[in-house]
Amino acid sequence: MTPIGWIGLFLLCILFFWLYRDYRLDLLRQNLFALRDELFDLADEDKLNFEHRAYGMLRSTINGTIQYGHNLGFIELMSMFIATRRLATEHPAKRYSQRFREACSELDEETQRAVTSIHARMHLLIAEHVIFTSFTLMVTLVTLFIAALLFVVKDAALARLQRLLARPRVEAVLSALDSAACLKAT
Amino acid sequence: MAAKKPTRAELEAEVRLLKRQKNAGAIATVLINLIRWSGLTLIAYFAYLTVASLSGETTTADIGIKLFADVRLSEVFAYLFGGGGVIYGARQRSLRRNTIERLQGRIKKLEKERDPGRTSSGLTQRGATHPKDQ
Repeated sequence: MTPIGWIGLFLLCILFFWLYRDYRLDLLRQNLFALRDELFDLADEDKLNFEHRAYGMLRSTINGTIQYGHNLGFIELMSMFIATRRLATEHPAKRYSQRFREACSELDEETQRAVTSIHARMHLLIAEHVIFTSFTLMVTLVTLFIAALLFVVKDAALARLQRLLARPRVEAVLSALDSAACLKAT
Repeated sequence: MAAKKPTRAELEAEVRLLKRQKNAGAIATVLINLIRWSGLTLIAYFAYLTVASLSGETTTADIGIKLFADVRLSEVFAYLFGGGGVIYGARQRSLRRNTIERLQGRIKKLEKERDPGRTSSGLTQRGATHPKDQ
């Protein structure tokens, strides 16, 4: 390759590792703010009390994810998964998901659906962010494959991704993430 | 309904989770920086090698001429297009952050009226990561 080609590759690396990642972080935060606004509107329409546990927990979790969004990445998630998988049975993530489920069960069916949908969409945004900023997934073309799927069959691909996120093992990682975000934000 | 008060064991587990997550984050940061910087160093090294292969045979001026003689006009347009895109993106970003800074105070004030216990995301007024969270 000519020196100009190497310089181009060098600049491409800077574009990917800094500029593109910063853009994806801003995009994640923007989308999370939109979700937080949706939750606020739900309470503003008196469908949910501002003092309700479900509102407080979900808002804190979204806030924590916004605040520490810069720490979300494929390698970060993998190392967090490895570091926290052997925690005791009183794992805060289990307590978090249990408390959140309990809090949601106190709501009427329609509000419950709306709140759990916001929670699920937050997980989708995190998954999307991790997939599209990972160098490992990018070079192995996994990202390209998922991007193509999302472009061609968006709804089907999203539904599939949602099912994948609902799997117990994946859900456990997401709960650990939620629980940490909620703890940090409160 | 009031939340059940966490037990001592639960609080200790929460502290453990946060500590482990912090350690995992530190390890991940080292790994990511290693990948980033070793990649960039490797590319810079190969670029140096291609230039160094010309030295001894030619002068620095010749190397410069050879480098740029290889660049076609169509390539110049491509680089200008790429560079222009980056500058355009940076300007748009700064514009968006200015808008966030302008609007966020009003949103915060209005939302506080409805929800006095409103919690914050902890970002700066321009919507960037707070330096203490870096």
